[in-house]
Amino acid sequence: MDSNLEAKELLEQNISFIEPPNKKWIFKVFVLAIIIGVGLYALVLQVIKGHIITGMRDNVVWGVYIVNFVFVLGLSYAGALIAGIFHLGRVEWAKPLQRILKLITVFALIIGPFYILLCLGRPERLFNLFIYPRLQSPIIWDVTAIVTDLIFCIVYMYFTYIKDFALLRDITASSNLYSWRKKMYKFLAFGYQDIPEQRKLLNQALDIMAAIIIPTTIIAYSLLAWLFGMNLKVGWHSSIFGPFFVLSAVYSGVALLILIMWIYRKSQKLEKIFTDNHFIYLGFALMVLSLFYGYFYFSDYITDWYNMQKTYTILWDKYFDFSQYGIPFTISIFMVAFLPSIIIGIPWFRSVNSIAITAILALAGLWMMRYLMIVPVLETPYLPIQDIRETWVHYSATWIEWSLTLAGIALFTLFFVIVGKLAPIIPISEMLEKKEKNKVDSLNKSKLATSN
Amino acid sequence: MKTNYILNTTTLFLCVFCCLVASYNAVAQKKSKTRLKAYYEKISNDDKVISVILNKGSGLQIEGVPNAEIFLSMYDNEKEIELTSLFTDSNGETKLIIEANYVFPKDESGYSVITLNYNGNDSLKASKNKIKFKDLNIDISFDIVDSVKQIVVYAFNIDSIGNKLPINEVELHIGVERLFSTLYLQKNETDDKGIVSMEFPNDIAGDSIGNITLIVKIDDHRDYGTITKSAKINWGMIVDYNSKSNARSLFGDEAPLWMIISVIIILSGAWYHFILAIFKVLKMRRIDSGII
Repeated sequence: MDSNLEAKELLEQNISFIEPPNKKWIFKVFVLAIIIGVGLYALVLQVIKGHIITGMRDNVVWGVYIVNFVFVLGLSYAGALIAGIFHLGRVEWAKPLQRILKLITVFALIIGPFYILLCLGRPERLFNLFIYPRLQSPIIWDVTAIVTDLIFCIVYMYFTYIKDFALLRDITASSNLYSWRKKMYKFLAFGYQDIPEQRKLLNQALDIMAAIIIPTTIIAYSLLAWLFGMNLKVGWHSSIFGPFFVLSAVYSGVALLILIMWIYRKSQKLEKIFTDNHFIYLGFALMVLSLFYGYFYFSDYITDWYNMQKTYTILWDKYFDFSQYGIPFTISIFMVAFLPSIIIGIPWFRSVNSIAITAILALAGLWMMRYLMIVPVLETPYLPIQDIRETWVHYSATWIEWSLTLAGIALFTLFFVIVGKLAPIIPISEMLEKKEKNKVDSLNKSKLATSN
Repeated sequence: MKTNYILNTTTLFLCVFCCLVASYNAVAQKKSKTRLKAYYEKISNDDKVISVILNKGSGLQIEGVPNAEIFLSMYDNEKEIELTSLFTDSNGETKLIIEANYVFPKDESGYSVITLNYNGNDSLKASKNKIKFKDLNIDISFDIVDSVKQIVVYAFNIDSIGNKLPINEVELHIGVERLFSTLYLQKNETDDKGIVSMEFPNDIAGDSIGNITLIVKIDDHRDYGTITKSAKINWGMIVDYNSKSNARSLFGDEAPLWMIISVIIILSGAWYHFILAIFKVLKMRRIDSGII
């Protein structure tokens, strides 16, 4: 391949993944494995002893697990949705971000569903869902959507990797790299030789995948929203939930993208790949999404508030009562709806680091908002909770739930660490295509100037 | 001087430490209070149930004492009769079910008294409680007068020679059994004849042959405890759960047609394009191997 040398330079300049694992990498894996191990221990305890060792009880039947499920799936769908839009929109500056977006999608989609399984008191009965499915049940909609989306996203991610695997196959052919890695790159390159016809077919396949991924993710996350919205519960039974969920997902996805870009930029010195402009563009996207979030939230709130139904009033009082959920609610709504406008909207505050920190705070706020969307609602049923121990009325997560939450984060990070060692974290081939296109454009421009 | 100072300071710290350890042990050895609660209930088949709960702690820290032995006894003519002993479950709860034909000894005012004892252990204090209750029977009869369905509930006691004595001013809840709980239709006190009557509504859904289960309940009465009596009658509306009108509905066995068609269109559209993309990538590979 003609561009091998350039590609090799790009790889060597920016990515150290071809080198064998060093002590730092092994230490990272070790620490993450310990966190995952603690989570597995908690899981074993939960399976043996049941949900009694979690904070979930008869009324508050959902807790941190479902919060994680909704949040992580949102990240996944957002990754796919943003990647699809960037791809079909031929957004040139976003090409270096494509790989991270697809990795977020797949990793989150693998981890997310585990949290819903953790909510099951009798997990062995899960199989009944597939034996006796009811099409009318939102749970079946959600299961179908997740499975479809997972298959589509894994295949879409693989398609985007084919050109890079072909590059790696060619570059590493004469290197002293482990033979299994060479074989792996050759196998995964799927016979791609960058012949124009091949390039055309692969690009067509990528276009098709991007086009079906966008509606699939929107439908899938709306279905998850309807899982809540179809319930006759205060705070959930709302027609705005579908679009609101999709918006929240995109918001959290952009925030996570900024965070991951920032980590790679800092740890692997990728300032030339993830430039200041990337942070500023995505920072503005974060700001706009935060304003939309605030608008949606206020719209939902004022509709509830204006009706002044008794149970709605009880629920909203909990959000504004500082002895109940007032403090987390105020902090979260500030971090989610106002902070990005202050930090990114005012030029004096705007910088790569401040945008990244805003993204972290927005992510934390969005997770908390999910918690506040679920737990206080379950604590506020239409019929008052009676004849139940006081400690069972209010939900409080136990160490089991927190350790499994941390294990999920660790697993997500571990996936990045491992994949980052096997394949490039930036789409090298797409960036080379971008460079070639820029060269052709500048050549055309100079020709035009000469002829004039 | 300096050595003395260090010695004195060390001694002082040791004394303080020992005091702290001693006070901690004193606290640790203090026994927790326990509280024994019991409820009397007479269920539909006239069996009697004594529910016992043993708790420890106070305020928000109340929790059940598991695996504790509770002794139950009664007095018959001032002579204590050991009834039985029960072990609490993991929630600190236990139950004694007494068959309907067992007759409890009564005192001169007609009360039966059961004494409960927990003897405590190394960490828990002993506790004691007693419950007293009177027996009460409920008869349910159904009547149709001028096409009006009437329910008549009679609350009575039986004296030593077998006479029925009406019991007045006892609040009765009358309802019908539904899927998850009881739907209460009326709440009223018995009259001087020990009777509460009500007209049965015509719009209560029954099963496929119109059967309903009527529930009459006295709820946690200070003298009679909780008493439940039920009876079946085919006065409900006949509901055919398998009728065609329920087919293809949200709650039916089959989904509405529009839902099936939408799902087929969405899924087939998505999967068709997915297979098309796969096909293109497979075709791409064949270009390399020179098949095309």
